Amino acid sequence: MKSHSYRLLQADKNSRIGVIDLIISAIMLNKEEITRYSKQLLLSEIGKAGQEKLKRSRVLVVGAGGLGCPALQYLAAAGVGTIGITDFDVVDETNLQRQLLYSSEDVNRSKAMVATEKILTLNPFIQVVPINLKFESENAIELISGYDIVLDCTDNFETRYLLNDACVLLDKPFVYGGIYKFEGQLSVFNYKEEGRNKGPTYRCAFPEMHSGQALLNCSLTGVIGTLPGIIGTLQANEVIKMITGIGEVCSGKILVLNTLTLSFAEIKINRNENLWCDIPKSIEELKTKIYFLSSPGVLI
Amino acid sequence: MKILLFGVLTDVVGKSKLDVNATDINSLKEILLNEFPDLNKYKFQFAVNKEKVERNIRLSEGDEVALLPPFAGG
Repeated sequence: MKSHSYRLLQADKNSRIGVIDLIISAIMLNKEEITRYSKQLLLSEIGKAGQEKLKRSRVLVVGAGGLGCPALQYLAAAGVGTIGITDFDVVDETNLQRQLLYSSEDVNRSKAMVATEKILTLNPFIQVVPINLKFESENAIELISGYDIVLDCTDNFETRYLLNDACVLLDKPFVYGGIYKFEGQLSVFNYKEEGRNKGPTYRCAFPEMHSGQALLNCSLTGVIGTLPGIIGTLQANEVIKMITGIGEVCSGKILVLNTLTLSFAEIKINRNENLWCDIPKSIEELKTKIYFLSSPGVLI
Repeated sequence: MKILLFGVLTDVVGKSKLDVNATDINSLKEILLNEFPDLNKYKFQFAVNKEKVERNIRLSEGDEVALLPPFAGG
């Protein structure tokens, strides 16, 4: 009897140790991670504390295309602990010129699945959640809720407005990237820096959508392959800055890059809640709002 | 004054910089839409001296006005 109780006690103790080990491994760096991230650990601005913040962070990348691929690679390599990848599309041969996570043999495979496999090969010390779904009003709130920061790597205005509205309702910052032929835009929206007022949202910059403009995506207008590489990498850079609390976040302004003239312009944007009339008032309202319209020229 | 164009607006106008004089944002918009009616097809924002403006404001000779459309692609 005595030995049985002892064995039970031992088992209980072992399981407690198991749980504690799990918790420690989720928040602290192991020996292999210390080697892997040594060049970031050397940076006094990041160091061990910053690297552990990266490990504890959860980032959702909406769209695993031109912007999503480089953003995912750098976020994974930097050691962001949990990365969600939302994309319902499959790899197309015409993607390969700029979406460098994918190879010829990946054509017709799910982008969310291939991207997950590739970035887990790059860094097996992180968690990756593939979400092979279309980002829609019905699931936007549920998908975003579990993450700290969202990346807008989408390729259409409808999803951008939906993502903005969901992030405003859930009070999450998101990193916007947009591209057109040889030009790119970058901004961090709905970002609250300590001691400052909350920054503007996408609707403060572009209050209303004109769906005729929605046709201006990469597959129809064409795009230089290096452009999403640059903007997607800058998006990942903003995420790393926000998580580790270093540098100046690109909030309150839109950065516009022209790769042909290699010039950067900055346009200051102010937060203006008077421009928010199209944002749903509640999560329930967002779930039933129609963002995707087919008739051109309709404002939503 | 110097007018800067971005994205699809550059395609419509045929260049990324214009020299146009106008007394305020509304009159500038009227001049541009008269000369380039296809601009009407697109939504864009005005920024004066690198700051987005929400209403009609007076313009001075040395001002730099940017016409900024959102970019859909990703």
